[in-house]
Amino acid sequence: MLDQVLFALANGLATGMAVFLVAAGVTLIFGLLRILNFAQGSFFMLGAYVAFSIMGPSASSIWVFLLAALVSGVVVAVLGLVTDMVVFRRLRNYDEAYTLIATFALMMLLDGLIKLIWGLNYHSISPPPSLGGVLMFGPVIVPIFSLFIIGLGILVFIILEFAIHRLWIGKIVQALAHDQWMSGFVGINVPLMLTLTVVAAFFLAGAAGGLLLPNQSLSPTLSHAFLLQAFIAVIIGGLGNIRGAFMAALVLGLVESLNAVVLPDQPGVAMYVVMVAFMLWRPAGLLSAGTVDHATSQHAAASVPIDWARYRTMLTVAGIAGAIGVAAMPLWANPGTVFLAGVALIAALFALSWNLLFGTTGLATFGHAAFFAIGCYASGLMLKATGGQWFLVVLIAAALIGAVVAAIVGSVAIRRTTGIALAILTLALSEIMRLLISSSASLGRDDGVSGIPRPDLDLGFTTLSLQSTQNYFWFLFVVCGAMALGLWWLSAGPLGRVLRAVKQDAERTSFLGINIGRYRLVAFIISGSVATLAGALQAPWVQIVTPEAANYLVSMQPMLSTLLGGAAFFWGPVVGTVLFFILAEATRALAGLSEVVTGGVLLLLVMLAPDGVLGIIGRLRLRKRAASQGPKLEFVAKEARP
Amino acid sequence: MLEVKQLRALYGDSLVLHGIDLKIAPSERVAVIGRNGAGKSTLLKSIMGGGPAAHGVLQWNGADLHRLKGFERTRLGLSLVPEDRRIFPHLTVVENLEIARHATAKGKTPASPEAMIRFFPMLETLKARFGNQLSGGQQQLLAVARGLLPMPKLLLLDEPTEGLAPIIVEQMAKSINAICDEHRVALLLSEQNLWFARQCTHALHVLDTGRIVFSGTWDEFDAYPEVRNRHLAV
Repeated sequence: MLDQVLFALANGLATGMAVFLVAAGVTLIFGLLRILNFAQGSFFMLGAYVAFSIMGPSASSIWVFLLAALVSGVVVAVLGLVTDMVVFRRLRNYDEAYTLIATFALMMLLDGLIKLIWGLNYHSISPPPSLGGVLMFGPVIVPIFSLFIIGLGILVFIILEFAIHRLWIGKIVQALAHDQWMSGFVGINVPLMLTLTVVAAFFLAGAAGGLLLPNQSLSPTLSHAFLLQAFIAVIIGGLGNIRGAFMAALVLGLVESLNAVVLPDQPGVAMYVVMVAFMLWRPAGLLSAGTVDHATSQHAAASVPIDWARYRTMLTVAGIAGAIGVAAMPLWANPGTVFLAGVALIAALFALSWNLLFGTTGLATFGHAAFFAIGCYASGLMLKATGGQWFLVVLIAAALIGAVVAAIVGSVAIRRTTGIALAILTLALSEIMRLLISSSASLGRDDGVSGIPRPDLDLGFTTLSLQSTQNYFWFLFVVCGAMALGLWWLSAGPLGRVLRAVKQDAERTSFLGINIGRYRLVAFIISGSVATLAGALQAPWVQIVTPEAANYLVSMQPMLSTLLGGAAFFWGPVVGTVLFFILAEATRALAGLSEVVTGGVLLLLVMLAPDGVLGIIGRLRLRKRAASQGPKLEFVAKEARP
Repeated sequence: MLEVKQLRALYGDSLVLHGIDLKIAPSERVAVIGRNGAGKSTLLKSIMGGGPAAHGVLQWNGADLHRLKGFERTRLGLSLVPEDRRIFPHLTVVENLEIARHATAKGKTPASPEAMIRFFPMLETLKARFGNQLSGGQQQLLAVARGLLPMPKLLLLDEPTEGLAPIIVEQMAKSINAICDEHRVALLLSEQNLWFARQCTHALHVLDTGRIVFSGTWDEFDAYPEVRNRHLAV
């Protein structure tokens, strides 16, 4: 037992150090730019692929290995420079939810490019000759390469610590992290220093990719494993804090390896549990004090004063025409397209439920897929048990389960955290759920539940069979439409008005005597319940559920759709979902291409038009009207620009 | 040296400065006096490029300042001491002074932190303290010393006496005068404390709701008490 634990310890240290190497870059960039870079893991992976292209599956000597890592670092640093100039600079004054989504889009773009260039295959890479083999410490076997990684992590930590706390350049970097405005007025070249630090962080990611390459299986999923762990380390350690990230990475590595010894059936869960517990205990992180309510920070998009009432008739007609077109799809489209349209209907409802939290209440959650997955599994299992009967009861039960889960999770999470902390907390919770599902035998592990029957709809006086795609599609259309209208009614009514007030300024709203915590919780419960219902509708439609329903990529779907369509508009998520499905369908043919296109479009949108497609339309209208009113408006618009 | 013509400044959509004209010659010391919200800080920040959107002529020895970033303006010999002090909390007093070396203009030699501390003797015992361990008054002295360390050609000093004890205000006036005399530093001082402003400057502009309503020497100011009653009385 002891040697097992010691072995796990060595392993844990190596894992922890590897996580630290990625986390250091994330925390450095956040400390200076307040941007939590989702793409850091992908840049790390890019470094790994570049190194792989240079040295092949086994490096001929340690020098080739180190040289490959150095080249990877330089390549990624150059790309980092481009990223900083093209993307990060534009994001500096954005609301953090938008920066998260922008870097997520960057991640998609990069992952897609990597798939296009290097393909989907797995490669296994062995350490260079002098770092291969193992050392024996009594009964404990330790791979030399693990020792190398541990040493490397400690070395990088010491260098960073020394540079930041002892060298003058470190003092400058700290001054920048504290107060960029004043740093400029003591003569520091702020843009240059920021860029240099960002480039250094990217170099670190790229070089780490090359150095950690051996003993990994290299595939386009490499980034995800490291990204989440690095994020957790950064969050626990306190955003922007190298020392905290180091300590947290060590703890996480040890927790992870002990998890493997103590709970071999539940791999990876302990790490998230530690993180969730930690975030609830100290939402601001290990080495920082105090919390700020981030949920109310300024919106990126300047509010465009559009007189929507003028276009209401036109838009309503367009909306109704579109809806009729969709409803008639089984009559004019081929079955494949109808199937996709059904999935899109569900996705649109799912996105609407997310935007009730984001666009209306100002809370960005990154784990909404958990509700969707609960719905999928609940309805899938229940329908299998009833043989496709009692469908309405199943749906209502699923929605209730979702509401109860949301009430429990929300009463802890929503009250303790907002902003980035809430985003990451919900992300971790949904990952825990995904891991638990995929290790649960009764839920079919990674294979999930298949052969879910299409139900019959018992209305009391008559029974409708939903066996056929056509009937089920119409059923979907009616239910999703009714739910969407219900949400619209809520959002336009008194509840929606309070939620919008909470979003605009939580503090002031609470001074009006409104219990903002309770209203956020109510929004969370409604949203979770509707998301669960969307999942429950999906299970019999696609007739299979897998743990991938809870994947964080599924949580991203509603965000992407919402931003694409326009978060400030109630129907934005629906418009976005439609565009998204068209985009994805058109680029489906080549692995990676769809991610490149989707990520690229999303990135452009967030940077150039954070108010989405509907916002662009609105602004075009405004410009046309301004032009017809003569040059006066134009002048004011010019003046207002800094 | 500094020439400002028809300067308008906006925060978002609201116009704060409605066309300011102002000239400062080398080693000239001028005060800008006005009530809260008159636009004093906005004027100083507009000259440095630190916040409001500024339009109009803004020239430094004939060169257009608009195109330069804040840190580039400091390297021409401008130095701003903001009203909220902005001492770096993680740096010691000496390091807070030293970091301002980066703002030294071409051809100028910055003072050493020790030399600056000689001008502000109250900082002597605090050298090793961190910024977040100083009182408000100590931070203000440090901020002024930091602004002067690069030996600027023009110091923009924003309400340095706000909230300070009278003894510190007196001390500060002496220190500022000593340095400005010795190193020919020009001064643009935004103040509400008339006594302090009179100690440090030769002439003044009175600012009211974004416009200059009076310009002249202190003697001229005293000759027209209605300026004071109309634009400065609360």
